[in-house]
Amino acid sequence: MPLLPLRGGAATSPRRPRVHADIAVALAIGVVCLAAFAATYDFESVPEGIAQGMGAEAFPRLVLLIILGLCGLIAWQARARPPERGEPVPAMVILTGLVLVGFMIANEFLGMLPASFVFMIGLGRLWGERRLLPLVTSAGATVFVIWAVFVRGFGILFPAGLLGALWS
Amino acid sequence: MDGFLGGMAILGDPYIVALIVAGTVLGVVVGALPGISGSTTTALLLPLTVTMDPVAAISFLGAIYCASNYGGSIAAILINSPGDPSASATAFDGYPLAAKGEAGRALGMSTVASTIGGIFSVVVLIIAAPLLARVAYNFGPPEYFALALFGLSMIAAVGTDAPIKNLISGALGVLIATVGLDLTTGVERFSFGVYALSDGVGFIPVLTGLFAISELLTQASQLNVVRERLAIVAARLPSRGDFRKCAKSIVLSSGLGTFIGILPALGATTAALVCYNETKRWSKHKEEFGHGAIEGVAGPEAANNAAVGGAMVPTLALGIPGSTTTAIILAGMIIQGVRPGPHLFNEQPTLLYAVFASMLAANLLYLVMGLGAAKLFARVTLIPNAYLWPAVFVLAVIGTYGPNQSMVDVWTMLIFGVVGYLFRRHGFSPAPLIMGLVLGKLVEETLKQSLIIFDQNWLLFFSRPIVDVLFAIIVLSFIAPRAGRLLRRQRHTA
Repeated sequence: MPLLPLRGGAATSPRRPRVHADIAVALAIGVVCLAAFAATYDFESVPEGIAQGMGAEAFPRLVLLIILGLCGLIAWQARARPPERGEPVPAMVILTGLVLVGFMIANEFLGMLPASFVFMIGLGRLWGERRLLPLVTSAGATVFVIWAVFVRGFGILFPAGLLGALWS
Repeated sequence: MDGFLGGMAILGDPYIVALIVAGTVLGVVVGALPGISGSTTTALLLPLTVTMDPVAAISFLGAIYCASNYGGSIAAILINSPGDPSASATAFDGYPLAAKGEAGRALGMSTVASTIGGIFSVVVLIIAAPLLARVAYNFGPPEYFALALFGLSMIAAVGTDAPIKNLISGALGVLIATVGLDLTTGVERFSFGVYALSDGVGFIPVLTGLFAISELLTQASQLNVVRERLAIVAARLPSRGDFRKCAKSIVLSSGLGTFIGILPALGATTAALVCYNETKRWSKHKEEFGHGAIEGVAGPEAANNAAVGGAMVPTLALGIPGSTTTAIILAGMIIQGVRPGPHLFNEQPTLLYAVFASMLAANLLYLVMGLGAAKLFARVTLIPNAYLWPAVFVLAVIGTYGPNQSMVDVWTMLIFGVVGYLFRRHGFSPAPLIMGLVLGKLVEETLKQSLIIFDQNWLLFFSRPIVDVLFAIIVLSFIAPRAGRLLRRQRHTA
């Protein structure tokens, strides 16, 4: 298991990869493209009279074949290069990603504006700001400006969340 | 002439003028923030334009585009961290100059050179775009197909140094453009039963995700990076001696920057780097470069702002984006129901001249703002990441949710944010994906129309001279660099 430092930087992993990272990336894109290619067989068929020339599936298939060819080219170019160990994704990036998903979940319960307020304080703390008062002030001011411009100004209705539904 | 006067008349409309001023201030301020490039700024603010009419929206976006390129130089000079990638060449000499206590001189030269380059390119845009449009007026679907293919082939030159990865990124963009209803047959493609995907993947969630969210994740991995900040000073109008020293580099870079900007897909960053090297090559004081040469600030700054107007030439005249930011502006125009191209010059000349007027005004505005308030704008570089990026994320969410009031769009933005982050980690640039997404529909539609015209005989593409020329350029652009390398290797071994 690679060690992931919390604040950026690389970690050390005891295992050495067997292939160059580009080959793995080409393979991953290739698998996605093959799945998409298979999905083109599920497109609805169109009667001969309506279909003029290229069918709906022809162009996506052409593009997918080009991508697969290019992936093959990347893998072929990387085959001679020595495998190199890429840096693992820093823990802070993963934690930040989780906070973003947390925002989406909080949005369902609290509504978008309260969730934004909580999110700004939470991410600010996670990113190293220890002073709570400036964080709360800046989050409050940002949410107020958003409310004034978008809700009052443009008349956009944001999701109220379960809490908002209960409130009203 | 009526169109020209109509376009210029927008400068008498207080609402449009207020939008141009707001766009210029936002462009300079956000452009000065390290990590938030002109493309990110335009992508973040694009949702705001959905509620505007087309002239107002395009004026606002044009002003942001011009000003953000200039704003990037403030951070490059003061903290050696370009606010916009196009200002990276400015940092080579701007930061050493500032370190010597001459930040005001560097900021002043950057402001003036940017304005000269910017205005020169807008004048070229005003002259060249209608001429190019006149040439393209008789283009049919086969010519447009070849042109779009040419734009996509230039993708190999955008972003990172890996042309094949750029092409994959561009092709993925074309593939994403196929999601939703096929207009010819009415068949749904790749929507997997999700109703919101029937109209295709929206531009705004993809753009915001690829630029703003992926940058946020990248910033999360760089929290340990400490930037040295120099004292913030006011910009100083360049002296007569500095002007005399830099005149040649400003003229050269304005011309070359505009030309590079006109080439599809090559934007301000390429222009600035090429012109930095050219300025150094033609300078009488080569030894000063890298140690604080004032010409090293003037050249790239004139070039990157000249590329802005240049990049708008193919965007407006042909509908082929000249750079990543113009691809976003093109997306903004499509959202507004405006498809740029030669017909626009006859159908909506006022809209086009409004773009020219707003860009001219923005260039003059940031000259005044830069010389008068650079010290104030520079203060934004002091905003800590822990305050800036959470606010950017919330703005991105609000901007993405707003136009369709759909949470599917917000989830799409998050997914593309992760995709953009993984792309960057593995040497793929998100810029070609945007190009592919914007050009994808055009490529497919024109290919299908051409094949109907040619009765499904694709060999008839070669019966059109313009198509032949464009295909030849595409083939040459792939073969020439490899042939050159092969020749050099042979000469080396001989």
